[in-house]
Amino acid sequence: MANKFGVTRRNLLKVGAGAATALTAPAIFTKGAFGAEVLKIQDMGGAFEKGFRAAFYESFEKENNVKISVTTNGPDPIPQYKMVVDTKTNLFDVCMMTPEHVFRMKALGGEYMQKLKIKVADPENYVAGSITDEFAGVAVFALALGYRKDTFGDKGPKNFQDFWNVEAFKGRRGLWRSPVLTMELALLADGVPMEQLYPLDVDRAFKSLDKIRKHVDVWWTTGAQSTQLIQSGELDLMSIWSTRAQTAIDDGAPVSLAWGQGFYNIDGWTIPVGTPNTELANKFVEYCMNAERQAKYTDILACGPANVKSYQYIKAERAKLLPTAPENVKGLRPLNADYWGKNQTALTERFEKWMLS
Amino acid sequence: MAERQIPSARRFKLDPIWLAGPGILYLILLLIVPAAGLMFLSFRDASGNLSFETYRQMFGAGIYVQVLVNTFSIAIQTTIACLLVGYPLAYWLARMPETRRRVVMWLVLLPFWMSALLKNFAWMVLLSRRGVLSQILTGLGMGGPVDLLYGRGVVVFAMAHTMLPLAALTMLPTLLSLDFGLARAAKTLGASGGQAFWRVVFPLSMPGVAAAGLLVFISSLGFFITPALLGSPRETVIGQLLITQVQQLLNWQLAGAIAVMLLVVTLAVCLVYDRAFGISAVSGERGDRNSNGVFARLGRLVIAGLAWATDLLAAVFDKVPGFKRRDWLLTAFCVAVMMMLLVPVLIFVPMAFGSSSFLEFPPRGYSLRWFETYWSSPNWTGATMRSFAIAIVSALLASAISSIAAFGVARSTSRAGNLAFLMFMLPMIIPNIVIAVALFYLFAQIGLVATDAGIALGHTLTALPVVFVIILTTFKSYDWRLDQAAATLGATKTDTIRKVTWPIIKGSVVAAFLFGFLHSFEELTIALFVGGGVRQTLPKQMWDDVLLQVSPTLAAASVIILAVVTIVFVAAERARPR
Repeated sequence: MANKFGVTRRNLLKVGAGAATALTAPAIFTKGAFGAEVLKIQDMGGAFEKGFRAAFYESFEKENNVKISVTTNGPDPIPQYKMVVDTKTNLFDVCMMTPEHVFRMKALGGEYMQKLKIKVADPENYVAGSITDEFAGVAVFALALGYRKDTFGDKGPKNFQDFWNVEAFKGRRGLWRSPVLTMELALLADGVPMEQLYPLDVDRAFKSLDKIRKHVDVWWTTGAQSTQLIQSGELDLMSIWSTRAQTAIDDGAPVSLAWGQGFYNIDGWTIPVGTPNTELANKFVEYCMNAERQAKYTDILACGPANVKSYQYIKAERAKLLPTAPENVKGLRPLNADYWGKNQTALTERFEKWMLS
Repeated sequence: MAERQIPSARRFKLDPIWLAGPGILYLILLLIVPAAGLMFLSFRDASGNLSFETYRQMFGAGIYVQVLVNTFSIAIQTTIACLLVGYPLAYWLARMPETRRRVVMWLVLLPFWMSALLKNFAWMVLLSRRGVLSQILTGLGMGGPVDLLYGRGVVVFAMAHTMLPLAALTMLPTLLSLDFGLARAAKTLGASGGQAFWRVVFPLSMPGVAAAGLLVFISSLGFFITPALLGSPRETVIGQLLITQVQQLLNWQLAGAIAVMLLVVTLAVCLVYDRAFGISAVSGERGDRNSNGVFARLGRLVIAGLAWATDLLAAVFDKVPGFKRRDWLLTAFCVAVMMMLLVPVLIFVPMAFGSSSFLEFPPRGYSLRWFETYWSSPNWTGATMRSFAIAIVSALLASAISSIAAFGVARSTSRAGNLAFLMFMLPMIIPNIVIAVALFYLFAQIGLVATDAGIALGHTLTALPVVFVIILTTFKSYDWRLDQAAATLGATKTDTIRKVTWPIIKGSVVAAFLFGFLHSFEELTIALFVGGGVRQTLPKQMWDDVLLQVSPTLAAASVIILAVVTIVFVAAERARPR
């Protein structure tokens, strides 16, 4: 009996080994297939990777005879970034971050990001906060109000006062499970003007949140989840990042964004300490700081170019979907990275406590 | 069955228990030392002085205690659900003919080895407000879209779904060893069907039920995937807080304190359990205890009540035409449960071949684009390679350590055998999230964080209980007289091992290796912490994708995992001696 099963077992193991070989094959073929220098870039993946490939990666590869390999950031890039530098793992030469991430990295102490050595031709054309010593912004995205057109038709909510109005706008609601920007939205809904938000009146914000809490069906935590929620129609109206909503819209979901009120954030490049490719990395970052090139990703990726001059190269029809388009950017303010860098830990604890109470 | 050799008095011999030494050393170095280190850390302030500040902060903030209460109530609800559904399933399996049982067991176990991450994601798709189930319910006239997700109900359902195979499997050995002739005897003596089951069969199967309850409860305590994906804020559990503290806020003192709180409560539960049932019941051994305490009397009262209720129900059913024979009820129930177990695993196949940019069921069109995305992405292929390598290394290490130790424990006559057995069960008794945090803390100091070796060492640790038990079972039923016979016939020690012992135990060692492989291949928690985001394994890559993208690449990867797991699992089951 043992013999009989031994044969079967061996065959099965062979199948397993075969499958393993088949699985490993593609990695062998893609890795270092060309002799060219390799620049390792980490972006946000998905539409970002496709858009940047069309706008930056392909032409940069050709013009400089290098190969760009792309990996994807985790949900919170900071622990990984820290680990990469601390353990001297050359996982990426250039990494995508936001000004808020940069602020939090700096708060860790220690040297993590290199000072960029780049020349920007037209810094005056960039959205506020796009260019700092360690950070070069290329793509702007915004937290705004997304809603289902099949629920509201033409009479969709316009701002967060409408969102808080549960009588006039009936539907399942969602908000971000984070004090960041959710506090701001609560204050806006309570009638605080955009210009007088900071420093935040925290008690007033929580009072405003008290009014809406029993009507909030989902407190979303991740970007992917927010897309899934509005795309599948699980929610009718929610606060959502513009890029995430656009993914659902591009897929044909009846979703629309109200730009009346919102906050924008910037994705841009940083170079970690310890990369062996500093020179090439800087060259790449500088290459991306160009209005015409930034315009190219907007067909695929619904981010607004950090360089507003890019709109000369973007079709009007597409431009109206992007956060930095003149018509949309009026209602938006930058995320206050300074305020949140200082207050995030304490407010998160209070926010979570409020959530559970 | 196990025939113990009479200790030879010829000369002084070391008790074979010493063979468990390497394994125990491994457990001390990688589990007990770091856990203790974490514990000490929580009693120190930032500058290293003794302080209770962390604990003041923890209990003062209120949310940590609230979350601990959440964690416990969810774990208890999950345990109850698992026992209620798992008992009939195990009972049904136990009454089945041997050959058919093996086939059915495969079907129960297959979803167990699929990652919880995938199954939960499947529920997100299936139960969404405009998803399949909601549409069916609406079609049946339930009115409006039905809200099923994001609440306690769905969290407990999905967690119980994940743990059910574990529960049924743990109860099975007790039910198998139970003499159903006793029930027949009871009936001959005039007991009704209900009386015979509740007063004879059920009490005898209690050790299995208790063991299953303990295992499910402890596994549930460290579980964070389901509450994070399917729950509302009210379902926040301790695991989520630990991840935030360690990964985002880098607050080691507080993370240590939370882990210690969880550990202490878990050990307290184990202690209570040991007082009530005897901890060795976890391995299927039965401790006979009779008592006349308040609880025992209360228990008998409950059983009498249940038996009476069953008889009443049976009497009512007897009046209904066509319900005279009710055997099929149990079968129908169990088949439904098994289909439920398999559904979330199987829906990934059509989704992976879908053409939409989202995970949708049923998919709108068919294409291979997501498999192409998978093959061409260095993130996915790299993670797959790493998972294979780590799984092979940790399975080898775990089966080597366990084989030697199991031999020692099986042959030992010393009481230390029990202690060694308990030591090997430790990684199962300590919630995996505590193990992961403790390992991260240890590895951070010796430069093993963010290395493949670190993940492999961690996976070896948590694979030990399963691998050890599989091999130990074989050694316990091994007839040592075969060795004596070989020696009598002139075989040397090496010859005996090579030509007699090894061929007999080979199957179970191979099976243990493959189960160790599966364990590592599916493991997320340790990979999440120890990998440091730099060394991505396949489950970690999927976890990130669930949080960031939720593209059908995930489904494509799932289908590949499903294929690998099925192949390995079938191989392992075939290798096991019968």
